Amino acid sequence: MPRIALTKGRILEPALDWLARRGFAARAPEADRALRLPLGNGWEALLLKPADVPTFVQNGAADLGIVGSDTLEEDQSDVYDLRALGFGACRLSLAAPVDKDWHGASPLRVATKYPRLTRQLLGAAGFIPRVIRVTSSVELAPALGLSDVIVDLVDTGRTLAANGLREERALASIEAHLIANRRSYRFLDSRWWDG
Amino acid sequence: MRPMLEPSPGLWIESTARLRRLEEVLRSVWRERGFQEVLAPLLLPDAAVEKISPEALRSRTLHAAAGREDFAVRSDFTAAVAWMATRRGNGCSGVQRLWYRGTVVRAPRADSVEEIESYQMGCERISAEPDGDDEVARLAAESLMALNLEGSVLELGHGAMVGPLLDRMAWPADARKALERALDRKSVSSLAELAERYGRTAESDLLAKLIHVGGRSPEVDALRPELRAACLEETWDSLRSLGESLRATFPALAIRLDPTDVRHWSYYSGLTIKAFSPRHPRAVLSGGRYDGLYPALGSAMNACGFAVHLSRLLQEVG
Repeated sequence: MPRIALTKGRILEPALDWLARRGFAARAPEADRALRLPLGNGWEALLLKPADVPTFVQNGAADLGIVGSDTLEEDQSDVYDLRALGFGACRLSLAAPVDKDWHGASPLRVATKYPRLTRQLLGAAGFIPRVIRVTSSVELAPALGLSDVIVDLVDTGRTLAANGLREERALASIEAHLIANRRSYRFLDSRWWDG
Repeated sequence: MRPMLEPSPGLWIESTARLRRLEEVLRSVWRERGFQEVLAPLLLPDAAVEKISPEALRSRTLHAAAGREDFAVRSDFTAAVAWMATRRGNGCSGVQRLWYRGTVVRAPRADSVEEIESYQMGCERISAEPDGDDEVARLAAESLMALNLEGSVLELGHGAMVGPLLDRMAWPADARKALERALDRKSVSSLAELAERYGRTAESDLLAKLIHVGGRSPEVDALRPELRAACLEETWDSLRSLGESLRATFPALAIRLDPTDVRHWSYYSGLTIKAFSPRHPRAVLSGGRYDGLYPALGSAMNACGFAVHLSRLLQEVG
């Protein structure tokens, strides 16, 4: 059965809408915690954490996947990045405490879920960051002395503000992308990524 | 607590027996075509591997210290066969047809289910002239058929089709690396971002179009004026002609031409070959022409070949 891996969280709804526009019976899952979702037309959706979507696709457990370009660029998985989907837009940004000057920090300690992208993007901007990898609640890091600044996804900026942070610099635009593994790309209808 | 392997003799015996059956099928086809078995070394001097292996493979090569010399554990047969052939003076004239079998060992990737050690069989056609693409591509198709992989996609690409476009783009080294990565992922959006940052050119536009049309030959044909302007029309025609000839001979295979789907640009100098089966998660066969390999080892020979990834054939997807 062909499968598409979807990201649980903020891009799930628009991903299901995108599938519905392509003729799939895609509805948000009920509260039964099921991780497999029948889509009709012989397809099934898998609901995964973002970082797992490329892994499932790369290894053939799913044929296609919808995942943010942040995860895609960070993980460097061996998948095809077939198209940007025009939803799930946000920014990968540098954010700092509103009440502290971080400009003179040396080395600049940066907490992030995206160590590879952070080194690459801050390096290109002239910084030599000391990257501290965290996997959640990154906004807490500066207030508790773990880092000077953070690099994280920013949409409205409300989570930053609620934690005494402000967006200082947008480093990259992020949006949802359609990915495929090398085998499925050869056997699926190209209308998936052309249309 | 130490993780223990659950004994499952049925599974192991069945896998081994299947592997031997597949091996016998290929051996029979290749011997019939005049290929001779060679025993390629499992350890190669580090220096040789540094000189001849693609960067992506070097990064996954495991090393072993033995005496005063450092050795690399074989991560790819092509390098091992080339090193052996040049040391023994094989292939100094005429055509050498060699086949090999055994394991290759690569450092694991956290996100991959691939084993560290995998089992391959493959063949190499070594010759003084850069010829024999047709013979090698046909043998690849015959091998797929003999393995009962009808319905597979046999895909041909060409390192000399996109390589020149990359070389003509005067982008800095790090941009070139990012560009190769964008091509490897068929990422038109990444290519567009790079073009915006480093300067859009006729070459970057053509690359974007070639990625977009993927393996759809009629749409590549529609790009003829641009291919002609980039001096690539002849290469495309030779690839197309080889594809048509294979289609006529092997109707049970889907022959696909995708000039942009080439990994290790600096390594493959001409034809590339890979095959995918709907039942298996990764490429079941891969290879191509690497005419820079033997000269890097001091021999004026050319080579073209492919490996069948037998351990991948033992894994099927549901």
